[in-house]
Amino acid sequence: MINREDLKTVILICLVFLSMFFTSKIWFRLPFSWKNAGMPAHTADINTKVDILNIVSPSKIVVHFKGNQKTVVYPTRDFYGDLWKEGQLALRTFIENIKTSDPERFKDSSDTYVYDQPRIDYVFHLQLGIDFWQEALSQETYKGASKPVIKGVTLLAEKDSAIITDNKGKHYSIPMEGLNRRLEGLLNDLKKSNPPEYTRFSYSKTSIPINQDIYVPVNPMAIKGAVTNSEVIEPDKLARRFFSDMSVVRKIEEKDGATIYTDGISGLRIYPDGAVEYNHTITGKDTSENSIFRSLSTAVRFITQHGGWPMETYLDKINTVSIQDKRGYTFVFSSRLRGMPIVTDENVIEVSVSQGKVKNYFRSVVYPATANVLEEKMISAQEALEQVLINFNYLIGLENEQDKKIEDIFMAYYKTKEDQTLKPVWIVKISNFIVYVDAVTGEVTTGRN
Amino acid sequence: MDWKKAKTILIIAFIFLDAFLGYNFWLNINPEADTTVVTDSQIQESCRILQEAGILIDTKLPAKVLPQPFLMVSYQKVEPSKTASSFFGELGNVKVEKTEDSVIYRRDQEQLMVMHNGIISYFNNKSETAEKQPLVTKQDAKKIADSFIKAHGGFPPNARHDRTIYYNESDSYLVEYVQEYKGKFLASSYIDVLVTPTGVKSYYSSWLKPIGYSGKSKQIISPVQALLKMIEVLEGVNKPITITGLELGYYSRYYNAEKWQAVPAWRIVVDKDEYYYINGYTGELEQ
Repeated sequence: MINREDLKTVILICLVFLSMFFTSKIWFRLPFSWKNAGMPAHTADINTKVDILNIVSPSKIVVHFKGNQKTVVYPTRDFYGDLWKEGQLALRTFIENIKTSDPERFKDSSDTYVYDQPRIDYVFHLQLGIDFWQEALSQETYKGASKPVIKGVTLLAEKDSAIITDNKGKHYSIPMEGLNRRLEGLLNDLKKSNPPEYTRFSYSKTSIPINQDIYVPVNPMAIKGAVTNSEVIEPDKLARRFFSDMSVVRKIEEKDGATIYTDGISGLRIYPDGAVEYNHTITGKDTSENSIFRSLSTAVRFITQHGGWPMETYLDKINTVSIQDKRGYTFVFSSRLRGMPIVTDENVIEVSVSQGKVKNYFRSVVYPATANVLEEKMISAQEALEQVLINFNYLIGLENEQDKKIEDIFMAYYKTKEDQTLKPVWIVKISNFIVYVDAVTGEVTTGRN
Repeated sequence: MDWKKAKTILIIAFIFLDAFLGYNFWLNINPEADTTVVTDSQIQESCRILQEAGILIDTKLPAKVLPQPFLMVSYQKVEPSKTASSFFGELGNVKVEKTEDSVIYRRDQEQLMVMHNGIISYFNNKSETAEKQPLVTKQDAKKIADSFIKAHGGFPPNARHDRTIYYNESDSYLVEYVQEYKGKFLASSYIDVLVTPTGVKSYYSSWLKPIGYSGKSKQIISPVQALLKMIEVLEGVNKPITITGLELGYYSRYYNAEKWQAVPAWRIVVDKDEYYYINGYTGELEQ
């Protein structure tokens, strides 16, 4: 006969197994945020914390040393971060000054003298209003009456001052206490690092006027192209980032290889090549309109949480849009490689924000790999321009040369939708016409308005 | 260590733990637990709120709604030549044109398009010149539409008459049939027949194939919640308006896919003719 203690042992064992059975049947799920769900395989290239100031930072910083020596520092290069911090300080000082007094008080009419002095020029890709910079630099709303749009910043170290240039060509001179002292060491270190020497672009074989702010390398440089890989995406995992409750989401596998997820309010389409498209229907009565900065912050946060922030991505364009009668913004982001812009046929990331929410999101990111690509010698900017003038004379209509202007010549990487390689190119902008010249062969690739 | 005492404590602890887990397990497997119950006071309160917004209710609301899963559907494949024969009879004098995604048949002023995804579209412009016979009622139009479908391939299984809309401008009726799956409508699966005083002018069939339920049954939002959503949906529409019908079924858009899921949805009928679909899980308007 079984004794009491043996019976208790049997009951206990049964209870343990019963608890294991129940637990397996009602197993609790881990919240999404505990998993690394949906992040592309290129995790090394993904930033999780993104500083807006780095997305709108200058596309290049031109340093004019004493003795007329010049160099150009591109994003991600050594010294760029420290130089940009000084630029931010200049903007902050300018805002502090004009908050309480009329900006006209700082207006500097002697706008030619700076060209003869050692200085640092910050060249921005986008011209943004002072209200944007105020929010970006100090998280405060700008309340000043005058709202200049900033075109560029120039630091005059020896004069302990900065010149802010607006989009109307006005210069504002502001004192920058201790600027010379702070920059002295930084500029000495930069000079000691033997940076590539740059010069103002000149070309004598044409009468077309040339923009005075074009700087090109003095000596021909060697450059590497790159091959690209698309994002590797696990659709189900990525979808979990877009939908809080996957149990109400329908999954549709289209015949063309795309996968659609929808809950009736939002739709997510993941293309076979890794591109991602998301749409969210506007609901509710919220008519609030956010500032560019707040909308941009929303867009950046969304990108970071839905696929991650690819390295060297910058804000390329801002368009004001109307989404279902509500004003919003579409932000177009592009990529750089080693600080040089990557020019492609389609946008890299595009986000539309309205009423403080992301309504549309498109993402087609490629990751450059340079490991097995050889370095090649580039042709000079002058040779590139010569090719353009020979090949595109009839297209650009250079018979009226005085009507045209050579706006810019700069290095970039070019990629077509079909091709997986990033070709180094010279981009030549003549008035509204843009021509890509292969930076190694000199072949004129394409031109467009 | 006092093993006797330890065993007793563990048995008591596990009894409580198993009771808790067992209750949760029962909740998981028992569909009744996810049943949506609508009380009279909820109905009255919602009617009052809707009335204040200019929306009147002239339909019955279910008191109890059982949880529903997704419904997996696919396109119903059709044989183009067989379908064409059911419309034209002998195909000898019928012109045939094949496109990337359809086969088009033409004879005189008649055109039939059979798409690879099973959609059938037929137009008959011959009726423009035919003798006019005024239509008296919606019932007349339905009879003509019924006869037309029976004479051209017949009704698919589980088809039911859904509504007949009168178009004043053209003095014509659109007779619509919808598919029913286990007693619930499948909104995306339907046949439209346009009946004019000269006969049937067009026929459009988009008939889906229900494969079966997909996934676990989930709780459906209360019909009261669906009705209250209409305040937002009908914002800007001239009031008063009347909600004349409310029914739970399935809704989906069309996709270029082998199969996909349709979602449970409340169909809300406004002034007898207009349909709105509210997602049965999320309570949002399906668009």
